[in-house]
Amino acid sequence: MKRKGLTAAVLAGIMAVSVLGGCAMPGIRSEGEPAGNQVLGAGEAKAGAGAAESGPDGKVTIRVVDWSDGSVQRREEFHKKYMEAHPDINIEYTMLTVDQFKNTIVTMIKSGEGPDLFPIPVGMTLNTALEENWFQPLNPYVTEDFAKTFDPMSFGEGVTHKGEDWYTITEVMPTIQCLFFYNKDVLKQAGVEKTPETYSEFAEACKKITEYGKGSVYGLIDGGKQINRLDVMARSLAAAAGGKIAATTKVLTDGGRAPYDSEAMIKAMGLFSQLVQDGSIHPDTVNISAPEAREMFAQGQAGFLCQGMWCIAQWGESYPDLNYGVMAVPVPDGMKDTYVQQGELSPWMGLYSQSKHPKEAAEYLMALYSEEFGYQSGCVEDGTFVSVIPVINEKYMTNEIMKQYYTIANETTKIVPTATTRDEKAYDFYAEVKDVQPSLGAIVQGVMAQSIADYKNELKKLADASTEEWKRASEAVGMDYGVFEFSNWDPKKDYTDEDYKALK
Amino acid sequence: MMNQEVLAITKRNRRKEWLVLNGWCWLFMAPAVIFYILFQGYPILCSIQYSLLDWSGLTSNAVFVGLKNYRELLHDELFWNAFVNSFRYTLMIVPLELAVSLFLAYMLNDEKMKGRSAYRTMYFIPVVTTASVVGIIMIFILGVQGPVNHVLMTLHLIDAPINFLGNAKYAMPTLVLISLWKDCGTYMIYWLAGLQGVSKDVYEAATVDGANRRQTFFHIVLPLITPVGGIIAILCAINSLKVFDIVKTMTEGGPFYATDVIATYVYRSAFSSEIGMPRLGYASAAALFFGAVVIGAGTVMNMVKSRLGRMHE
Repeated sequence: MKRKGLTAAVLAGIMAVSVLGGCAMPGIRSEGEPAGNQVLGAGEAKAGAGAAESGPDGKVTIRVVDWSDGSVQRREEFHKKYMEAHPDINIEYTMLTVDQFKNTIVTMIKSGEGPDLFPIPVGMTLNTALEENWFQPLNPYVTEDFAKTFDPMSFGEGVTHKGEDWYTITEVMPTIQCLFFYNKDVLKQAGVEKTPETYSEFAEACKKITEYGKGSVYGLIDGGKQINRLDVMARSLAAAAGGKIAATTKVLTDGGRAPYDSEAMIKAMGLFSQLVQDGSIHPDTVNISAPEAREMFAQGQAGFLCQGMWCIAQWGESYPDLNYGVMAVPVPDGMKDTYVQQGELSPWMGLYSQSKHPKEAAEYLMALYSEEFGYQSGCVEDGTFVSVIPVINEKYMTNEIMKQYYTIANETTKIVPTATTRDEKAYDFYAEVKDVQPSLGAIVQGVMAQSIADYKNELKKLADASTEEWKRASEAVGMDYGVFEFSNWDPKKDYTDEDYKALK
Repeated sequence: MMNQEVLAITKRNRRKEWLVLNGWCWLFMAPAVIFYILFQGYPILCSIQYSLLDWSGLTSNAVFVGLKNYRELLHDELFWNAFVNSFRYTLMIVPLELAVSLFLAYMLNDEKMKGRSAYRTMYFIPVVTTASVVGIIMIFILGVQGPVNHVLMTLHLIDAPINFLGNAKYAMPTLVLISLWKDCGTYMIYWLAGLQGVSKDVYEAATVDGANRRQTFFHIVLPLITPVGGIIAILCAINSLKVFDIVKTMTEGGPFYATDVIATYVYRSAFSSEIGMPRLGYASAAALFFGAVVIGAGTVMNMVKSRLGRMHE
C-alpha cells in the first residue's frame, strides 16, 4: 500500500516538475507588477540565429507560413517560378486558417522552429510582437529601391514600422471589405430596375426579389456563421447612416461612450430587422460561412451579397459567366454625404528574429512584391486585391468590376481616426482589453435568427458593457480613456495628420 | 528450523513471482501511462496553471490572478448558457443513442439474419467519416433548399421549408439527430460485444419456455447486459459532454448561442477575439470548472447508484 502511494507520489512529482520546467510556460508576473520591457535590438535579436545552413542537398530552405487562401493559386505559381530562378532555394510554404495559425505559431516559436517569414496573428499589434521578440528589422536585408516601390500610404508607425526600423510588409492596400455585390440577372428577372441607394430602396428591392423567387431566390445572403462578417456589415451600415464608429476590431468612442447604441447603429439594426420581417434574408444565412454565401450568390440564390474585393477573383475562376455588379453601402432615406470607414492598414509578413536565412527570406519577400515574378500583377489582374505597389496597380488593374469596386470604395469611404496614432499606449490597451459578448456581430446574428426581439436593449447592454471594459482596460495600462474621443472628427472628411495635431 | 527455511523460501518465491507479475503489468501498461502523462496529464496540469493566469496564450508575459477567472465565470451568462446547453445536449442524445444502438445491435446479433456483416459495416461507416465532412454535407442536405426540405415539401408534410440549423428552436435537436446517426455505430459495436456474451443456452431455454422475441429481450437479455449498458451509458455521456467538432462545423454555436456548448465556448475564448487578444487563461478556467462539475456529478450519481444497488440486495 505504502509502495503504491510512493509510486503515485513519484509520478505526480514527475508531472509537476515537467509542468514547472515546461517550455510552453509563459513568464508570470503578479497583478499590478509592471511588465518588463523585452524588446531587443536588431543585433540582439539576431544573436540566437545560427549561421546560414544548407540542407543535405545544398539547398537553403525558406519556411513561410500564412493564411492567404484567396491568392493560393497565384502563390503556388510564384513559388514554382521563384525556385526555378533560384535552384539553390527551396520554399516550404504552409497555409493555415487564421485560428490554426494562432494555435500553432506560438508553439513553433517557443520550440525554436519558427518559420522564416510569417504574419502577425489577427488581434496582435506589432508592438506586442516586438515585445515577444518575434521579428527583426528588414532594413539590413532589403534595398532602398525596393522600399521606394511601395505606396507611402502602405507604411504606418506601429503597423509596419517602429521608428526607423521596418518590420512588416502589408499584404494589400487597405480597401473597404464591405460593398454590396448584386446579381444583375436576378435583379432584372425580379423587376428591380434601379440599383438601390437608400435603406428603403434596398429593402424594397430585396422584398421584390424574394417575392419573385418564391422560396428559391432571396434578397440578401451572407456568411452569417462568421460573426466578424456581420460585424463589418453592421459597422458599415451605421457609418453610412452618419454614425461615428470605428472600423472592425478597433475602438473609438462617441461622447465618451461605446457607440453601439447610437442612433445610426439602431437605424442599421432596424434595416436588418425589416429585412427579416419581410423574409428577404436567405434563411441559410445564419448557418453558412462567407465562401458558402459567395457560392450561393453566384448560383443565383440571392440578389445581394455584402463582401469584399476577394470575391471578384473567386467568381472569375469558378463562375466566369456570372453577370454581376457592385454598389455602395445603402444610406438611410433622405441622408446625403455620408461615408463608410476606409479599410485600415494592417501588419502582415515579417522576418523571424531567429531566422537562419534572413538574407534569402528577404530576397523572397522582394520577389513576392516585384513585377518580375508576377505574383502581385497576377493578383491585381484577377481582382484579388489592390497591390501596395502603385506601378503594378496602374499596369494590371484591368478587371472592370475591380475598377468599379475600387472607384466606389474611394468615393464612399473616409479615413477614420485611430487611437494608436494619437497615443502609443493604445497598443497596450489592445493587448489588455477583453472581448465583450454578445458582440455586435452576434447581435446581428440574433436579429437574423429572430432570437432577439428587442435589439435596442441588446445594443444598449453591449454599449454599457463595452464602455465599462474600455475604461477598465485604459486604466489598467495607464492610458487616458479620452484618447478614444476625437472631438474634431467629422465623418464626412478624411481624418488627417493636421487633425491629430489640432487635437493636441 | 526446517519449517522456517521453507517459509522463507516460499515467501521469497512469492515475492519474486509478485515482482515479475507486476513488472510485466507495468511493462504492458507503460505505453498507455506514458502517453497519458504526455497528452492528458501534462495538459491538464498546464490548464490548472493557465486557469490562474490572465494570459492570451500568444505572449510570454502572463499575470497571476489567482481565482479571478473562476469568479468571473460565475457571472458570465454565456458560460452558463453553454454549460446548460452541454447538459441539454447530453440529456437529449444519451437515451436516444443507447436505445437506437441497442435496437440495431439486437437486430444484427441474430445469426439467422442474412447479410448482417454488410449491415454492421453500413451502420459503422458514419463513425469513421470525419465530423467536419459530415457537418459540411449536412449543412447542404438540411439547407432550406436542400433535399430534406424538398422531400418533406413534395410529400406535403410541411407547407414551408424548415430552417433546421438557422432557427434556435430546431438547431439543437437537429445536431442531436446528426450526432446520433454519426455515432450510433460505435455504441452498436459495444452492445454487440455485450450481447455476444449472453450464452446461446439462455436464448434456447427461453424459446423452450415459450417466450417470444420481445419477452426474451426484455425479461432475459436486457437484465443480463445491464452492467455493460451502464458502461456504455457512461461513455456516451462523457463523449456527449465533450461534443465539439460537429457543433463547430455546423453551427459554430449559433444561431445566437442556441447550440453553444462548453467546448465551443472554450475554443472561442481561447483562440478568437473581435477586439483585443484571446483569453487562454479564462478558457482554461471554464474548461476546468466544467470538468470539476462533471466529475462531481458523476461521483454523486455513482454513490446514488451504489446505494440503490445495496438497497436492492
